[in-house]
Amino acid sequence: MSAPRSNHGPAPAELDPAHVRLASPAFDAAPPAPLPAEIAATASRSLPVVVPPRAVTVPRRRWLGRVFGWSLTVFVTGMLALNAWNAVEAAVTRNLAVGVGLGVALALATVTGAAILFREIIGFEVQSRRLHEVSRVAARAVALAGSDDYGKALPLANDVLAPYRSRADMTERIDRFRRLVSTAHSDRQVIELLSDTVIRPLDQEAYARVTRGARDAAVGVALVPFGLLDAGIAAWRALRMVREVADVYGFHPGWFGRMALLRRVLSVAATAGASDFVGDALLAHMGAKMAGMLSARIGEGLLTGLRTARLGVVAMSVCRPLPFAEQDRPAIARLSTELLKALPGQKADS
Amino acid sequence: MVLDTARALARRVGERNVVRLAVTGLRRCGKTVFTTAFIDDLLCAGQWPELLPFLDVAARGDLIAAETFAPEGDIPAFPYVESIGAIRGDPAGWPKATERLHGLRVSIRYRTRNRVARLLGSATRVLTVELVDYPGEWLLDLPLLAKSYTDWSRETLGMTRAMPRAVRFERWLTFLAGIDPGAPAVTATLDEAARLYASALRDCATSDTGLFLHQPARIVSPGTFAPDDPLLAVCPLPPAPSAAPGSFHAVMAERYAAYCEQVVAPFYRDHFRRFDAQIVLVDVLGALRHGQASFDDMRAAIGAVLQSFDYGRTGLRAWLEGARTERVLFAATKADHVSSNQHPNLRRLLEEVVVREGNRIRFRGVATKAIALSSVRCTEDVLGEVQGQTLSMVRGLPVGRTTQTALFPGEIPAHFPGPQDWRDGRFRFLDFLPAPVTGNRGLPHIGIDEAMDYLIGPRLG
Repeated sequence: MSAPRSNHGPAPAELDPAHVRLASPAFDAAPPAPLPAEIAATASRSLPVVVPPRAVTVPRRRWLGRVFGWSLTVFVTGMLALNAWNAVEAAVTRNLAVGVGLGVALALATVTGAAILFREIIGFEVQSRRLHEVSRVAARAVALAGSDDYGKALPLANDVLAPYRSRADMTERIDRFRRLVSTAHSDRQVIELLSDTVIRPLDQEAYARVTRGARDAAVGVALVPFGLLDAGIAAWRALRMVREVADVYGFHPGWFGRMALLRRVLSVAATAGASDFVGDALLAHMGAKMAGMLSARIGEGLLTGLRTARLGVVAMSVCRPLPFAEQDRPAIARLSTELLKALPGQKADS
Repeated sequence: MVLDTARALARRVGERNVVRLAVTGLRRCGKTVFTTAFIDDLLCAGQWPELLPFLDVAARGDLIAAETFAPEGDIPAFPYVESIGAIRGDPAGWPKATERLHGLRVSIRYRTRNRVARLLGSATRVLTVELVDYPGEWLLDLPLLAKSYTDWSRETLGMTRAMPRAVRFERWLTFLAGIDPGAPAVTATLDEAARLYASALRDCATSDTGLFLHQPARIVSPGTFAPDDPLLAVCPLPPAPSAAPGSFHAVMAERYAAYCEQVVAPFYRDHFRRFDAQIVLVDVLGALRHGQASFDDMRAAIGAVLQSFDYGRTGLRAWLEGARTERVLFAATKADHVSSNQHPNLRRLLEEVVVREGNRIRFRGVATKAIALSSVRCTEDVLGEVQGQTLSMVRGLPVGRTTQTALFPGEIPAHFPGPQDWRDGRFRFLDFLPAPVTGNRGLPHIGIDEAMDYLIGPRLG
């Protein structure tokens, strides 16, 4: 029995080298490098669209909350508009000049408010699309990092680097990556190189921001004696930290964007990410307890700092276009010693 | 005994920063090119860290510089300058086939990450890699050390009576038929048998048969011996019912023993009894090109060679002698002859070739890994349309041509081809010439950094 011919693939062939094109997806520092249609097509066709592990959706009855939210919004907005209109009207009847002045101010406020809202919404669209894209890219990278394939990671690298091409501090790293990588590298290797040369420096920067945020929150909570105020400080600092982390990875979120990001971060922190951090959190808790023996406020501060740090690490993993390799994963355990050093009344490294 | 141990200990401590790297591989599998590229890449890596992105110490910018030194003892130095001159030359070419044993040491100075060492003020360290290069045929002598003359004769006779060897050994076989191995030996007749065997063996080795198992190997590649040295006048004989002393069989058995003792044993003792890491180069593509007989022969040869190494010796004595082999890397060479997306299959095929030996080695506690390797990458990956199909091809300048070509060499199977899979024209491989490199930049390669990181990386901490 002889095997069918097609089992062996195409027969060997030779071609005039003038009639072939480079298989490398011409890796340019210039705007989004166009890929040979072939590679782009195969890349998108054969890639399994892996559902990112971080986006966990819980089915629930949405309409009840939605109707409530909308009706409340309409009611409040309507009341405000009505009140404002009444106020202007009342002013006009009392004094024409004041009334007109107030009317103009109201009109101006409405127009500029609408403009701001419009800009935020547009920006939010872009940002949420970006955030979505990042998680898609990360999911693709996860698939490629475990595969044995060739030729699919370079298009992915183009996508990962696209937002960084305009950044002056990244040009050198991108150039370096371009010099390092070749078509002979497997997809797994390309992603490893990309992570090592381009993304890891960003990690360090982001990690520094997280450390600073956590330290500020810890110190703030330890020093401020009022319960509500320290919660406010911690929340404000966490929000700022998340924005800074996003900045480092190339997002520049507006207010809505920040909220969306924070929501995402919180949901990850609460669900999928939790198992990753259990070990760390346990350790952190132990540390806080130890500190708590010294002083309740310092223990509280330390715990707040560690929670903030955890939030920051989750923010990093949400914003990072490639999944963390094992050795890149920021360790919270290391942070707790740094935090202890920063807290008042503590001898460093005791 | 105590003195011996003390001396070994002293030497071992003195050689703490030495890695003995055994480069093994059959004839024409690319040992010389690997050794040359290995040295050249290390020499270049200080200035071009992007040359070896997967050698950790180079990638993190801690490799400062490397230098070559003459080997210890009376081994002649590896002709690195000539070899790299041929590869980088204009026109570029390949180094000459190795005909004798050479050695070389490469010392690497690097910044250590060891905190204790840095605290003590020694921020840089030196690691020396010892390499030897030799004709690949010689390895095939190693299995003889563990084989009696009778066993070897039986196996070899069986092989020579089968195709494709039978044609070339016909004259010798007919001559043997006229000899009674139990009869008293006549030196002239014995020598004639050995001469006929030797010429048939050389014929096998020099023609393009793709066969590997040529024993005794020094007949094919004598090295420092004269081709007519009496030590090499050995050939198999059929078993004698009563091998009286002085019979043909007995005299030839003595010659065999002398060959093993005086030629093979020193080679093994001096170069393969102790090494820290080993790379086994396998030209899987070459064997595919020559067909099933060559493929099977290669498997048998590699199996036989690897069985003669003494992996996994443990204990103080082995450690003192530096005999603790820590890792073995199998590499399918000439990976640039096929496009990159075929490398996974090439690697799988290699894993199948060495499956038994790899298993045996791992059982002894030695780590193994298989990769696709091209010490000097001569081609680039291109896409071309052939009969309406887009194929991944390689583009390069083939040996003996003046213009480049784009080649689709056929699809590398992920598993052993079965007997029905070998058909003419399934593969077409070409040998390519190195592409010219500007200045003293490092040579392009596939996976040599991965190989280095696996073999010596753990010692470059």
